[in-house]
Amino acid sequence: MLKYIGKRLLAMIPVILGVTLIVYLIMSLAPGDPARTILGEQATEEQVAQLRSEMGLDQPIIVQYFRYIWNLLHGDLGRSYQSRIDVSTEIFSRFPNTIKLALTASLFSVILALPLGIIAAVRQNTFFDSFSMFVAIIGISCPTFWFGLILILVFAVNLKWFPVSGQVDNFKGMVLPALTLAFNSMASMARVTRSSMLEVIRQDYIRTARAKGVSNRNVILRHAVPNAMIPTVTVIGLRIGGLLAGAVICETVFSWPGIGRLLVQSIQSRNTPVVLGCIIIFSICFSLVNLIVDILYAFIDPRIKSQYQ
Amino acid sequence: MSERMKNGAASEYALEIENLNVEYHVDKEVVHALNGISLKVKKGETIGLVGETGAGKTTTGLSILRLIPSPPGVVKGTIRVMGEDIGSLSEKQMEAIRGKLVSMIFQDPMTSLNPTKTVNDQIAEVIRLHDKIGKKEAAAKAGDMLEMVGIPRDRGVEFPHQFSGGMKQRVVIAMALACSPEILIADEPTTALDVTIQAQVLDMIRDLKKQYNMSMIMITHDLGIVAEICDTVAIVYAGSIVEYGTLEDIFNRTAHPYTVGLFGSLPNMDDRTQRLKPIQGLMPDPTNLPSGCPFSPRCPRATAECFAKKPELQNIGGEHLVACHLVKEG
Amino acid sequence: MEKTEFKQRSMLVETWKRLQKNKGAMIGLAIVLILFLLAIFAGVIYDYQEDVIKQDYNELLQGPSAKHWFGTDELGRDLLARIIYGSRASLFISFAAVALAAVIGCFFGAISGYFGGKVDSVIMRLTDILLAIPETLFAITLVAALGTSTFTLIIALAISNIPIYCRLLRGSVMTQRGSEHVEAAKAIGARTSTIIMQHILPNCLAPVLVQFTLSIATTILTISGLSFLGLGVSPPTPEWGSLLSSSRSYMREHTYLTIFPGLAIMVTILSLNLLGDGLRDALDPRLR
Repeated sequence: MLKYIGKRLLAMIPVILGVTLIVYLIMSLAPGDPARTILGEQATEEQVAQLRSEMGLDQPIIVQYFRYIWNLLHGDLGRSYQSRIDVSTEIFSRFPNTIKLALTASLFSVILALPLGIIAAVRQNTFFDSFSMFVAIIGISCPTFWFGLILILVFAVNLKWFPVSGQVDNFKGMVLPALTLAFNSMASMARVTRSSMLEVIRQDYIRTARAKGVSNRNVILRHAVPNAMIPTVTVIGLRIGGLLAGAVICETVFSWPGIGRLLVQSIQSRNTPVVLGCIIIFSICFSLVNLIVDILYAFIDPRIKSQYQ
Repeated sequence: MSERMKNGAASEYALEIENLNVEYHVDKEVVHALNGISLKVKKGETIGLVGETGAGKTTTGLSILRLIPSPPGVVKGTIRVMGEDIGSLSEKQMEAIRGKLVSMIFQDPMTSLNPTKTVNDQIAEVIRLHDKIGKKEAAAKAGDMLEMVGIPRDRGVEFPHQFSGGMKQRVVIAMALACSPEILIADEPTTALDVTIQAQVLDMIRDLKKQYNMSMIMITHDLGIVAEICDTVAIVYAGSIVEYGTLEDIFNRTAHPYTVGLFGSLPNMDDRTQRLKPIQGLMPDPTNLPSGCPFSPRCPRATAECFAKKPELQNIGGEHLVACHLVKEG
Repeated sequence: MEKTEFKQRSMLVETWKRLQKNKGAMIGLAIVLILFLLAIFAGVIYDYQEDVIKQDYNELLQGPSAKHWFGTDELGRDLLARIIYGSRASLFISFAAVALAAVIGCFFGAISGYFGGKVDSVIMRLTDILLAIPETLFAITLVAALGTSTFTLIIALAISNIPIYCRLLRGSVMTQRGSEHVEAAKAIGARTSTIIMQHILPNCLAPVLVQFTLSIATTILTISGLSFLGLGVSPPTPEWGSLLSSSRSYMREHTYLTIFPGLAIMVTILSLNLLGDGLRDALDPRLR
């Protein structure tokens, strides 16, 4: 088991390096000279050249990249051009908010999606099945931000049950943002759960379980569900990764003080170091979620577990 | 044969099936899977259900466990297990019968075991369901069952994918026998296995059957297996029994043209110059059965009567029944 | 050769017949077609300068009426006209991006699957890396670096869609490569390019078609999301996401400004998803 986790961790490192390198290279395409931006129009060419070499900007891009990663490992993401504020402080003060939102949304979507998908599969072709699959296809078709706006209109503006903008420190203020972020992933998880349940229910070993005298309920819960979880977990992982990306939009809709909103604001104010830091942190999180899913996999699928015993 | 002699006097049946019909309603079409099957199995007796793929053998087996999915399946007729009509039982009562009174071994051991549970857990599950014993005892008994089918008990912690096909089928058999059932339905238990393993598994089934004194329904298309372990034989064609009798009746006094055809498809070891005589054509489409004898389109001796009217089973001596217009009583 | 063509045509006919039985997919197809026609012939219905761009201070924020079915926006422009013109941006960008991605992805996927070995592992590691960046985030990165433009958007969305097609084709090619009809073609000495183009690719098209439909849907969603953030199509060019973004300030009193553009997006995506699901089921009758 440890060997498997170790192997997945090792496989993750080149992916994280590759992702961050691509992001770094793209961001270096941004027009404008950071040294000039910092010093302003009045500075002389010499002053700019001096700052450039101090910042290492005269070195090859790949050297700059590795220095960036090295600093990142020490918790340093550079300084913002305009305010000279430490980027890592800015990002990590908002990071917990994004995690809070993403985790709550993941929880919402898993808790809703699994029972919905399982029951829909067990009662295939009933009203419940058609209805929940209709909701699910609406869910994957509905833009996150629009769903958020509609929720605000109905539950905050008209019914006044929840605050209009998100509030980090109380549950009531988290409900609408988390629901907004969860809807899409909930829908696709429910669809996958249903279809993998349908696939599993047809298998011979389910018939074997029935022939043993296992009750209908336990055939589903003990035999079908664990097997159906194997493909479902992959999608849950992908969706939670997508949820991080969705957070950028959702945070903007609800004015949520997370790194998604920071990212959008920084792009608008052309604050490249912050933009770079946010995107790098997002992509590392995404890779880590994938890693966690890979590890979870080993717990669910004995075929993987036994390979590493 | 000796089994029959022992129980013959007390004419009690482990299993009675009367006029069993199974239809599947799919997309406005009706698939006639079983068309009026009747048979009786005495305690301790082994009956062979013989026929081609799709003849309705497995459907018969599943009907006895009341596991025909409904919808789309529609089941009519009476099935009595140890004298009790299972049609009138609740689902809960039926669950108590499955795995306890009636067990089934399925055709493909590769897919019949749950890939996410250990072998021991899967055997222990059936024990705990029916014998009210604790977790530990059930696990220990599951280990005993594994040893009985020739698998070291410490392999019980492994998962099905770590076993070979023959070993998996042994596990399936251990699971089926764990609660000492009265009736064992073996659905082509050796078809998916290598030839060398087939003989081992078959021997084991036969020995265990004696040891437990079970009645057995052996579903197969292999007349060799039938000759080895069956007491009586039912030849099934397109969802109907076309010939029914003791092993001798079927092998030595073969009456139905289809049965004759089945024997003709086997190579003759004594005279290898003799050509195989395969049965021409295919089984009729179960959504569109012929109105007369179901075998008539393929029967080399079919007459006008055969095409017009479906023949009833008739007794042609002893307990030998044949459904054919060409075979006359006596 | 004639025989395989016949077989393929009959497969298409079969698929079409099965698709026709699927009500959802047919509704989806109909709506997608209508949207296409509206996008293409938008100029016939509305004049771009007069109805879509020109501001009319006598008609600010009018609710839905006979004259303006979906009402007018904060600058007095007809919302329906802007939504219909808005579909042009979404459809054009997403089609261009996904088509580009499909061509490039399929090319590398075919190479990867057919040749295997080192080429395969290099291509697969690259797709792993690209897959590790969510579509929205990748597009945001590119837009942040290069600024908003239709071209940047297309490139960004195309690149993030490449790995899906690469994987998809690699998988099908690997299955096809081992199949008997390919072995037979090799045995008679057909050239590699002939084998790939004539014997392998035609059999991989079905899953690509399904994925194409579904990618268009997600890409339209991504575009509208980016525009909502102000990182996609920039005003005054109408786009569904930016229509929604600008409606936010008027949302409380003028709900229709928020509801209609969102509905347009949802109906479009829903139809594409229904069509994609239907196609998948029709091409793979084993399911259901």
